[in-house]
Amino acid sequence: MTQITHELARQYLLSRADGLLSDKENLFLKEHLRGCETCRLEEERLDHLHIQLQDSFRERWDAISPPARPLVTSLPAPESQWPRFGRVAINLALFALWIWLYRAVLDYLKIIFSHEEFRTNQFLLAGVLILIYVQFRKQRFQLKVDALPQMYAPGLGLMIGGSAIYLIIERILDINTLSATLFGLATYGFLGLWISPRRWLEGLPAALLLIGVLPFGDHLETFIGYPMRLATAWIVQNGFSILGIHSVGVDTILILESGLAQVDIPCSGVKSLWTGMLFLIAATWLEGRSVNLRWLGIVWLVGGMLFVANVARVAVLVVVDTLAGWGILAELIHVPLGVLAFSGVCGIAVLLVRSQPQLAGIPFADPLNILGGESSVEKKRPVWLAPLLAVLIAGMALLYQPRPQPVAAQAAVQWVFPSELQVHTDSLSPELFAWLTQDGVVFADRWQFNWGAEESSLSGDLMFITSDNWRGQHKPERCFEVQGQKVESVQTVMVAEDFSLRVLRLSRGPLQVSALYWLQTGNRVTDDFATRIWSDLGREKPHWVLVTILLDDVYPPDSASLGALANTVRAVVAEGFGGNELWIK
Amino acid sequence: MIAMDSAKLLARCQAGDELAVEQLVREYQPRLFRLALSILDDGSGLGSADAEEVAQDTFLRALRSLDTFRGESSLATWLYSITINLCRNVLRSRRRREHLQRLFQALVEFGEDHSHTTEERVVHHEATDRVLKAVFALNEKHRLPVILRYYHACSVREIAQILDVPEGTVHSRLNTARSQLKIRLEEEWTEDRNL
Repeated sequence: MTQITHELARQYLLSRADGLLSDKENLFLKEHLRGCETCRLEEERLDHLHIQLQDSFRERWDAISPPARPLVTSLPAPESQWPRFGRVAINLALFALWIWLYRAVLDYLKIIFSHEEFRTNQFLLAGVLILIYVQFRKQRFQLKVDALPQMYAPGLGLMIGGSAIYLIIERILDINTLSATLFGLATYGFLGLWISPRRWLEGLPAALLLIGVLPFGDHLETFIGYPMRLATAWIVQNGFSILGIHSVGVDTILILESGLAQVDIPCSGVKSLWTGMLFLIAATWLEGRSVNLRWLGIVWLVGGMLFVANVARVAVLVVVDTLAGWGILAELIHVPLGVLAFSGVCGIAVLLVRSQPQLAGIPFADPLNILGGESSVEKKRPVWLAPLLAVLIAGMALLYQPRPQPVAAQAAVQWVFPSELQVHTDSLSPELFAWLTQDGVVFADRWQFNWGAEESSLSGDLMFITSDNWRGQHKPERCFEVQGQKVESVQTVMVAEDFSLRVLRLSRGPLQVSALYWLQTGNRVTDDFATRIWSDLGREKPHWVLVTILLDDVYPPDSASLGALANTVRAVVAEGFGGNELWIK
Repeated sequence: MIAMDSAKLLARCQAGDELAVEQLVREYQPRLFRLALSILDDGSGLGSADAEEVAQDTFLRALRSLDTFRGESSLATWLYSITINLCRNVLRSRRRREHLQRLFQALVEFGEDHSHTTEERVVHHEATDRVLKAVFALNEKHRLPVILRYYHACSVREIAQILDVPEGTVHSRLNTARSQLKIRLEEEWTEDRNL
């Protein structure tokens, strides 16, 4: 038998490991190994490495199941003959049509993300955009800008459905934030025609988060906050009744809620619903958890917990303020109570979100594939889809019709003032008039006034804004803030049994003044914007007059002269209606 | 040469027989998925999604170019080579993204550090798995033959066809990889021997 060297034996060992050793070489190797401990150790080392590698690879990758359903089930259509720049141009044209369809919303978004009064939303947007950028880099999110649109039913459904509702909403309701929400949802559906379906589903919470930075505050206050406040007051009152305390009425609780308990921070009251939902969506996305029916259940549960937390907060404040009479203590604890309850609910929300399955561990099954059939992660890209989309989007853009806006007129009503209320017309500048009337004001009037005897006279500015559309009347607090005044306090005051108004203390540097406002129609007076907005949802849309009085000095909210002035102005407005409950004559 | 069954299956696919397409996909999908997964897994948990997309793209490309398949290698080898080319594209774009991400994070510091390299992520996922750490530390030209040989049980000839390099080069790369792995796993080898 021919002897081989150690060097050759080691080369043979490596060749054997790769299946490259001939039978003859194998015999030489075996012979050498019988008599050489060093080379046997090398053989053992190689075998060990072989086992280590195989075991480690299997342990890591055999545990991950391949997709259960076939990824492709039919011969794919031939690749588009369009050159790359042609495909990009088609996509750009579709995008331009899309922007044209939503031109009205873009004007609104320009206001939201440039005007000073929406600073919170702008900061939120910046934060969310940075978060999205970082996450998309991490998750390798890609938009296939040079591919033709694909047939993806959920994306297409969201795009068409959202746009159809948008056209209806714009024509009938004309609520900008709702239109912007639909724009966000439909645009994400539109983008789904270029994103892999798996990535599209994973990015859904990010899209919701982006939509969530829109200014929902006023709408939450109106459409959810108002019924929520009524329900809260009713629950708290009944709770106390069960405990044998019958002296606390719903009205008392509502007034407390409107003043002390309506904390203007995002983690308390109705605003906590908005902040809480944003938190939940962000947590779902950052934790990489799936969005499914169970997740929707979690959304409802967290919403319910925030409501219960608010009821508990109001109940505690009623006990401290109304029952015990410790108003200062109530002032001190109302913010910490809101923060505490909100933090607790957020903690539970995180635990609930973590109980959801992780997206990375789920074999993709395209749960939104509502049309059935192929569950492929890559969809067909038929050449006819792009022209069809172009026709569809252009058609919808042509169908777009905004709600007709009433034309405003300055001083079209002859308001009749009593002799003790001396007024001088203070014409509105064209800019102010245009700003006031941009959202459908019918009449806008302003006067300078003097009222009462000399020793208790009041003077200032009086303004009536008349509209049959809630959007025509802005909350005076916001108007004052835009004009550079700081709202120091807001208090609801009952001037008469059926007449509540808001008294504001404003400051600009060292100068302090008082202001009053209320909303009035032929037979109703309220200081609550929610009540005014809800009345628009009825069949008949009455005229409402927003009465704002800006005084030249500061007065206690319960001052008798303020009440008397308010009653006088109320009578003037009532006279303007001339006994008609709904419309100014 | 192509095996008879594969030849028939391909002919039926070319004729547009959807059952044949589905049969082909069902037969090769698990293998292609695992091949892509073994190359793209970086411990981030997202390798599975990428592997799924690569497996699907492989089928789409293969089915679109059935006419160009000459049968000089087996069908599996041909599909493997498409998969690997697609995986290389993914790895390239990943490297670009990681580079951009590092640049971005150098500008803006966030609480969590996302700038782990592939190797670091694997260790993060399987803290004790030194073998995988050692494999992921190899460069791509040495890592691929190791994965194909030791996980996918490909012969040197098949690896050569898949990677489009001579058989001698594959053997040489495997030898280099084994030498590096032996050095990196020396401590573990000594511990195992002493047990």
